[in-house]
Amino acid sequence: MILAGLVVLVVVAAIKTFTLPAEAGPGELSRYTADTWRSFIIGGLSEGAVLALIALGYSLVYGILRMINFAHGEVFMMGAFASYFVADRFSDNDFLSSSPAIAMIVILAVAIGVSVLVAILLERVCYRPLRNAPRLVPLITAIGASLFLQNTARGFFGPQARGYPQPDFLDGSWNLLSFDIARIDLVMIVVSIVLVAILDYFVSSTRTGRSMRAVALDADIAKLMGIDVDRVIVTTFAIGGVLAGVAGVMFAMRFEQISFTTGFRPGIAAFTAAVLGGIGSIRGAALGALLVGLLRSLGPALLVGFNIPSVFQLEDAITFLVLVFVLLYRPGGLLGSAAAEKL
Amino acid sequence: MIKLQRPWILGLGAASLVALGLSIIHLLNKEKAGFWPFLAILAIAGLAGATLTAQRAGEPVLIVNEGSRAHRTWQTAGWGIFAFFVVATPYLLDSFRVQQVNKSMYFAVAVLGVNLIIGYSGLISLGHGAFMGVGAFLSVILVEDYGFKLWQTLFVIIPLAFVIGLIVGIPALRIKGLYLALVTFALSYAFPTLLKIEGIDKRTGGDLGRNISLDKQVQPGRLKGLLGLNGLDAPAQEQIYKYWLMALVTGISFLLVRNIIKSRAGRAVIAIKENQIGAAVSGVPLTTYKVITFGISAVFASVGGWLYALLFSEANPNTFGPLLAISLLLALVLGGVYTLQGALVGSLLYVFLDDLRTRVTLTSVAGWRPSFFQIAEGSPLTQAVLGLVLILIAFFAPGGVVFIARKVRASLIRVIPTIPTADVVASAAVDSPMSEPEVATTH
Repeated sequence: MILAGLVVLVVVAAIKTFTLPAEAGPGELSRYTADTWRSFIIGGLSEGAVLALIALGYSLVYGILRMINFAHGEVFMMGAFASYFVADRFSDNDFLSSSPAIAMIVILAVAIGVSVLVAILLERVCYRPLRNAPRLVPLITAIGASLFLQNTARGFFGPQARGYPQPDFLDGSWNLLSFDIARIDLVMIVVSIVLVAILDYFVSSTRTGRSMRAVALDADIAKLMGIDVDRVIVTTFAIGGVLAGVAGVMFAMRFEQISFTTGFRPGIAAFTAAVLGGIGSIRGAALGALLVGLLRSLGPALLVGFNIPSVFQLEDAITFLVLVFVLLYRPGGLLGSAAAEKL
Repeated sequence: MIKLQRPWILGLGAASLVALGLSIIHLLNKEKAGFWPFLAILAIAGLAGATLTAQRAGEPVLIVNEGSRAHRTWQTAGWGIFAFFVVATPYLLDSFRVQQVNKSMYFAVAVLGVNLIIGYSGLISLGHGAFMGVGAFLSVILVEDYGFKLWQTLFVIIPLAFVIGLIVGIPALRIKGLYLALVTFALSYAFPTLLKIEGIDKRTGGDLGRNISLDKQVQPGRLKGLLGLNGLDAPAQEQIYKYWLMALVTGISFLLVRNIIKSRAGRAVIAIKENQIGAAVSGVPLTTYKVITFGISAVFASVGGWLYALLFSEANPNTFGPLLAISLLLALVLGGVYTLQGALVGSLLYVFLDDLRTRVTLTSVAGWRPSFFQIAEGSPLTQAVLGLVLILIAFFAPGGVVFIARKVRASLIRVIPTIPTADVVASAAVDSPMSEPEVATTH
């Protein structure tokens, strides 16, 4: 039912995109033109693309350990922040525009490296010793770690937001099927789809992926079958870190700024997405992120006609309302199994 | 029966406690630390030493029978010391410190509510910051716009918070465990934004928040003379007067929560936490109890918010965001989840730790400031410290401070409970209006 509602929402937006004249005439009911709707959709898709990468980090960890890695937003932020210093240096000495490919690889490598390091440290220090504790305890350490990392970043990098350089080749827009689409948005969407596809293949078909699924099903039996559970868990955190690192660089380049609170909002939105889609499921996280991204950009816009004051402040409220309703009817999320609710 | 072996251990423990209390009061009052931190460390070492010695002996230092004369004497002495501290605290500290004690009291009432949910019913809620906001904003708005007196607003706040708690609690029936933590966290995340929406912000004051105007604020009233306020300066008068008001509300809340969890309904809620299926099989209606617990805990949180409005005479949307929800959890964990005293002790500790954090600079702790650090030389430590404290508690004292205190007490003092005689049990079973045997015998 909810899914149907979301489909309706997207369809309405799509219809508006194609049927509305490019310029609104006088007395037009909707304030938006087709172009505006189009840009809402693309904005939603690209936000969803970044959210998907972060959401996968939450989802993988939850699938295996049955815990919320509350500090995952900070993993994302730390990677992005570390890469800022490299990117800033590259942008100062024009390396970013003279050889963008190498520069991007270095920037991504730094972001991924730091994110993976933070994720693994988190697992090693905060979660591994508490694996058998009641579920409130790891939640507490996770919240503690989140506070700690966020404010450490504030200490190291200062409280002000920094401008993140955008490479020249991502500036401007490409013309795609008569749409003008900002290059950075397209890159984000494509990179995200590719990474999700790789991850889906990895988890379903490789040896490590199979052992990840085995540990998710039953860690004790997996151990008996000769799977090194600790190593699988570390691998999971590392994969989450890689995805968060890539997401961090893309997010920072899209919005061209970064601060120590950058991890907070996307972190919560991504977690919402993971739960919405069905936590523990890769496709679920991707679908959930797509829906959350679209909801956040289209939801307020669709409400504009209904005389609700300042709808654009309501994007979080709309998202959470949808989340609550989905959880009421499908406690395991859209693509999640019913077993997911047994905690 | 009373047995006192090696009384010097008990003496050491008691002396350490007194020294600890004194050094804390001095640390709070004085800007310069002097030798008091060392005394505090010495006192903690003394307590630890006494505990360890007693533990090595394998037997508590003091053994008394419950209800015996000696036991009653010790108990009276204990309560006497407690009462002395309650009465003397506002007069010993300067007005700024009294305000902090007051702060810890509004916190404590909210944490009592959080404890009902997280500790006693096992539902993880991070949304109680929003309920506090409901209490604070309702009181400010009712006082300012509708001409209520502050105490009258309670009659609106309590039923309304209960209903809001019920509404938020209904999803809690389907949404379990960590999902509930997320949904309620989302509530406290969205709450400040909701208050700033155009239209609503006329009442809530938007980003700036609202104040209770000076003539409507709580002022020391008729009881001034009785409380010994005459002759003190204005801020001290105000804070001490508020201290007594808040202490009254906190005390009543504490007793209410204590009675709730000891009641039949409270035991049913704990049973749901321990084993949901077992409780359902034993005839506990899960739905009703869960939702009502949520409502009640929301009431306590909103009364905490009301106390906030009483203390600061203002309410700002940004105060009641996710960070408040996290600090409520931090206070609860510091004090001890699933303990009654935990809420009070934890709030007190949290408020003073947070204050200590803002007074201590990195340079004064580490002796140096890394050159790559962006924080200015004299600025306080960031909330990273609070995060660290949360992690350390989870590792080293998962039961909180109250749990440690109980352990220390158990190794020093043992109270042998009196066994109820057969006819007492029988008459209790007959007298009980709910004459189900399992109720009469288990508690």
